[in-house]
Amino acid sequence: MIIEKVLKPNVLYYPGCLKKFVYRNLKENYEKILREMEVKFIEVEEEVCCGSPVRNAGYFQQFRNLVRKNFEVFRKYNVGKIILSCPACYYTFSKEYSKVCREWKIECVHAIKMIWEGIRDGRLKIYRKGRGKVTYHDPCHLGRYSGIYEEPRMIIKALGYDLVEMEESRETSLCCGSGGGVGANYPILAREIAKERIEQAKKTRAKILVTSCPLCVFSLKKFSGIKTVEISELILSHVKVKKW
Amino acid sequence: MELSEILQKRKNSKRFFKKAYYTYISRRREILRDLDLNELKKTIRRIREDSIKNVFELKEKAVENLEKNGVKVFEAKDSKEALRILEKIIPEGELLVKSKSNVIKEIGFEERFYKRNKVVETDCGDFIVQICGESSSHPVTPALHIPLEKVVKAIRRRFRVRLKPEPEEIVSFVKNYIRRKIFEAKYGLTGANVITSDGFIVIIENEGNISLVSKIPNKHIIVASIDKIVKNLDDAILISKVLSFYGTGSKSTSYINIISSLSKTADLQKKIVYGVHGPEEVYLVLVDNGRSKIVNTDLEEILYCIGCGACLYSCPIYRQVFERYGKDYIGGIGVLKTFMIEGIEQTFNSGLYFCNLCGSCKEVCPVSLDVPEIVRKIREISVKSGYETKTNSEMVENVEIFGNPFGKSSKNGEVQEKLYCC
Ligand code: SF4
Repeated sequence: MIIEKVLKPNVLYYPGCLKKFVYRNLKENYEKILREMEVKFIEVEEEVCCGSPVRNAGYFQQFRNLVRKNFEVFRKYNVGKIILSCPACYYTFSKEYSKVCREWKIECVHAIKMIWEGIRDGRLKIYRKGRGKVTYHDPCHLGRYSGIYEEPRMIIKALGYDLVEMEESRETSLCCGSGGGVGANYPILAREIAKERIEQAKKTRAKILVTSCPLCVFSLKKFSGIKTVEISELILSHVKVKKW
Repeated sequence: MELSEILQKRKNSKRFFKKAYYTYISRRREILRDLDLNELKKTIRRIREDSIKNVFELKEKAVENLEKNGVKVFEAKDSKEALRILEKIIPEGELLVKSKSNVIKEIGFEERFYKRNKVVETDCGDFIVQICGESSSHPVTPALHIPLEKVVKAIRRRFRVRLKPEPEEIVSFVKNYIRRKIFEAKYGLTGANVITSDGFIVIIENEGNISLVSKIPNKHIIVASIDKIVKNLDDAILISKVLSFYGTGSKSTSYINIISSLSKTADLQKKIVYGVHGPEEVYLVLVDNGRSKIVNTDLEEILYCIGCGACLYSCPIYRQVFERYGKDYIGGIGVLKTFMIEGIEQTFNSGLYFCNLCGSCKEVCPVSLDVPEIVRKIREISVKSGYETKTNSEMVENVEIFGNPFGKSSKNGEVQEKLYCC
């Protein structure tokens, strides 16, 4: 038993700072869904920010420090695989870490891919079908940066919704406005962009705007006329999970 | 100007922009549909990479070949030198007809020559921008943001002519006015889209003004940056086509001007006489302005840009603030070029931290120029040179002390005003 523990690497769920400290409900959503699929994972307190905002702001030395710190923490916990639900963390861990840390070999998977497989294989049961039009906003770090366009769409369709596309979607999706530090540095500018995106969403006549990034949710939620949700919220209103 | 003020001021432009954007995007889609886009992009990228990696050698050849054909070539290491050369060629007070060129704007021509000489812009859009006292909002379609009513008002004020706010009427007036000026002028000034090492200068256009400006006045002066030089005409024509696909969403520009020598005839007793119907003197001023410095560095990619402006249309920031994002060159790529030309202080002030890093520019760009990644690199230089935003230094401090960008105050479940992500 002990030997097995030492040898068998752990799977870590890394929720990312926004879910850990701000949108805790979203963090819990993913935990619930993963448990329902009987995915075994650990969570650790010592991990630090993935470094995406730091790197994006041009603080490369500080970014390298974070990579180091996380690498040490993950080594301590014998992490062999990380499940991520934040697009920016996912991109940073899977594409940027190995560029600055040669020993970095940890496999990174996006929760949305796993959830889609869960739905497809019947490990997640849809007990109530959704109805009506839903549109999907591609987060830049999930779409253009990581090439994940299909899974969230397949999930939405599997939940029973009629998926309608905005005039700019997938590769040509419009940013939510907050990316790159703009939300923090120039909130009024971010807001104008978000407004434009919301207009595109409303034009589809969808009743719900779904996205899969906590920052996009933050950006887009401020407007009335369409309901903006993170994809885990939508999933949980159609998939039953056991109480834990 | 404060950001809020800029956003307010550009509210109107947004409406006009949207209309223009949709026309452009559907036309572009139509044209690109029949092409193997991946193949095209790969070819263009390779041409640009090869040209920049060999720029010094190509330049030497181009200069040699052009001079052999009678073109007088000058090299300017920076804007100052370029202006000095132009002042030597063009006497003070002379009437000058000019067509659109980013490099001419870059060297600060307007500030110096609008007062020193009588300068007439001959591109319809630039002419309108000039008489309306506006600034250009797009490198290819500069008057995109100016309402027709404002244009006829400016024409009435300046020329005492009453026009209906209709494009046809305005164009007809502008054409007649500009044409008179072109015939009057002794000096014509243009940029160039591509120059080849075997001695051709390629200038594309739709209006026909460049054909006139480069042929009617006695002296034609071309100002171009060194990154415009490619190997041969095949490469040049392909770039010209792509410029047109991506710049205006059309299959081809109406005209492709190719200049290799002066206007001449030897019909009278085999004696060569220069300046028959075209100019008898052609000058080329090749501007460096920080370009050589980044060849073979990790910023070299900036020079792959062919200047089509496609990236602007899809840029979330550009769509809100237009020419206020960037400086002489607009948009994210504009910010990068500002760094190349003017260094970090100007770059910091021209919107270095505006970029969403969303990557939509890279997606549409014909050379897949990775603007976001270079923005990050220049942000690093900025931080190291002491130019950072207060918000970002707070964020980094939080991360260093608390391990997360929000800091100690990040109580569970509390949504903060400043999210410092991502
Ligand atoms: S960066 Fe690319 S899309 Fe933008 S102007 Fe240059 S070539 Fe065109």
